Amino acid sequence: MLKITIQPGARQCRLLLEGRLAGPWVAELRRAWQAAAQSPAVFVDLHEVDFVDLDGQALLTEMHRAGVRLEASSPFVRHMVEEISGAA
Amino acid sequence: MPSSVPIRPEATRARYEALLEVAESIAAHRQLSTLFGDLSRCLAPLVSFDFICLTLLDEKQRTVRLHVLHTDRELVGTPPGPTPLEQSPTWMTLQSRRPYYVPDATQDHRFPILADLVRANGIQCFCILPLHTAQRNLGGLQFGSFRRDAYTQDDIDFMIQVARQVAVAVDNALNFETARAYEEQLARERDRLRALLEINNAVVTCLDPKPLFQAISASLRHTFGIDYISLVTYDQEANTFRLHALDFPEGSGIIREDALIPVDSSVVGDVYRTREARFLSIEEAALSWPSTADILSREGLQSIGCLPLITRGETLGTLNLGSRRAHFFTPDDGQYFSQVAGQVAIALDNALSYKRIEELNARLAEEKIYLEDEIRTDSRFEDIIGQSRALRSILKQVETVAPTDSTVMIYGETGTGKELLARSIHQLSARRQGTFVKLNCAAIPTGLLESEMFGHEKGAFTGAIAQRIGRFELAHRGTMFLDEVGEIPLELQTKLLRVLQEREFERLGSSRTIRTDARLVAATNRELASMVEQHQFRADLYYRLSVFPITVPPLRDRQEDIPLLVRYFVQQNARRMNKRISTIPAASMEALTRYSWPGNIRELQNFIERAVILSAGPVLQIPVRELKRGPSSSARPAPDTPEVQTLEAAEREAILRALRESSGRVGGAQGAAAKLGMKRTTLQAKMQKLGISTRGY
Repeated sequence: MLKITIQPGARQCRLLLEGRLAGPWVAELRRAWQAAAQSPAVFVDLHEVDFVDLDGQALLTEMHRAGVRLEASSPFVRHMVEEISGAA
Repeated sequence: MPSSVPIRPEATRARYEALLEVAESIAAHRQLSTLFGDLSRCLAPLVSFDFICLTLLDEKQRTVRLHVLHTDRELVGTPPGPTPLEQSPTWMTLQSRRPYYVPDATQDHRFPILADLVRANGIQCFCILPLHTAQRNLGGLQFGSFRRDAYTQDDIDFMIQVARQVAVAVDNALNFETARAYEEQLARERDRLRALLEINNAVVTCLDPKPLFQAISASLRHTFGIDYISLVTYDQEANTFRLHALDFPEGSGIIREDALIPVDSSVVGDVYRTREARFLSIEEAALSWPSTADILSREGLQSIGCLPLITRGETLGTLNLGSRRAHFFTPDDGQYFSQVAGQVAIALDNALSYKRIEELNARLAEEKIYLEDEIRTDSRFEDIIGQSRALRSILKQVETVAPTDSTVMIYGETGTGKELLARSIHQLSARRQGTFVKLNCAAIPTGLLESEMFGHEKGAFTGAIAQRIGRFELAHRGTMFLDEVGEIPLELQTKLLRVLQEREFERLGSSRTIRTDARLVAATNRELASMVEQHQFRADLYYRLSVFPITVPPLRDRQEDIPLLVRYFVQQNARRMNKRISTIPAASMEALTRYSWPGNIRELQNFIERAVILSAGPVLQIPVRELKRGPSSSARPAPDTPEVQTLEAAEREAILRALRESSGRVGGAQGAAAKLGMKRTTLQAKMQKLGISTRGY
């Protein structure tokens, strides 16, 4: 289960994710990202995400390569974000 | 007696030739109205008259009705309605099969109604001819004149022939009208049957109440031109009627779906109770149910029909029909619409049953997932170990409160076994056959907590890709264990309070109220009373939860139970690891007993597991140096001595403390950056590096 809260702003659009980024919710995040694509900058807040599966990780990698900022605090997700950032 | 002035043969022949032409013309008429209109014009060349009329016989009612075909002056005093047979000369002529000729109307008093009519209009003489065929009597044809004794015997003989032709024409028209009436009736029956078939198709194919109702109302509207159709169902829990579905496109919005209708003082209530259909005008409805009539008349409805929906001996609700036309519903309609209502009742019963089955299946599936998850994470239900007075006192309280269904609040430090106690309360209650549903409020992201507790509808928020049943629904007729109840955000506490008080809630994204019969057991390691004072926890919820508080003692207050717990955990882990540990050295046990166990039973359990792993032989080897030497059991634990920390950990702790004190504010004079003596941007960079967020302060 993943809840996506879209917080549009003048300078950036923030996607606040809560729950697990896995399964069908990966496609949901992609849709939300596409909806936010008009903003100058997109920022994904992963502080409340406790699990990301492989498909979710692939999407986050794609988003990061497209210039989206990712931030996380749980050890698992933070480590994954660091890997994504390092790989990019 | 008629006068006998002979007519020349040539004139007689011409008369009969003209009659033949007229006969062909009038026999072609298919409708009585057009025949009547044409008769006087056609007969005027053949017979001299000042007025001509026709009476039609109604043998069932034993009356005749007068139809005036022509008169030079306007007739006055015509009977307003049909005349009884015995008072009409038409019947006499039909029985005798002979004309009735009155040369001087002033002298004839046999039939008062006729006599009044002729006198009032100055008619001096008249002749009535019987109209009949071989199969039936039709009525009479009447010629009148303002002259006395206007007709000769020849005239009368000719009139008899004319009457024969008119009889054929009238018989044809009547037959045609009868045939057309039958045809119309057949067409009506066909349309009704077609509508019933359409409804039956909808009954068979639609299991969702809304599309089912739409199909049925479309058919009724199309076939009968009904303006208003609604479905009312009885809500047993709320003891009221609810307008379940409505098809009234021209309505102004006064009547709405989901509106509540009182059980008493409504037509619906009466029909539901008596199980008898009612077809009323608005005026009739106003006599017994003025408020219902007022609402319907404001919407322009003049006729209403209300039918009970009965299936398998039970009344589910009512089917309600309305029209803006007065006297819309006929007596025939009652039986037909009752058949429709019967079909609708079956369909509604099926749809509601299917919906209920779907809900139960979904709930069962969720329960299965939940329970499978429970089995995976908590494979064995561990008994509560201990014999200390403190523990026995707690268990006694559990035994007392468990069967009562009361809300229980369990206070205790982390790792003291609050969940075990909650499970014991469930097992000792009458709800033991129901589900024990657990929810750790601290483990769920705040944004998902409401959905986790109460469920959500598909599309309720971004990410709600399917309907989800919440924990409170799963716990219906079972026990809901809310762990870390102090972590519930203030805005969600209101909803929780409503569940406790009203036993109802709505799923996220839904307006449908769901009732739940879940017994609540809550637990926390926080001081809820202090949180109430700091406005972090609602006072009304606190008092509602604290109906029966149980405080679980920390392990340090039950030192006599430590040896029992140690042996239990040693056995459990040794069996699991396939080891044989038969001895626990006395010194080790003493060390274990004297330790303060700030993490309580959980810490002890983990410690013993590690000890079993490290033990190579049958003697338990405990890493004593890991145990902090604390004071005796009667004293409170000494304050923690500061340990050497990593720089990163020290920085994190300082930043978190500063954020708490500044309520999450980073910049500004009262912000965390000022407290730490650094620039805002520096602090933000450090926070990002350490993965620290300002949310939650």
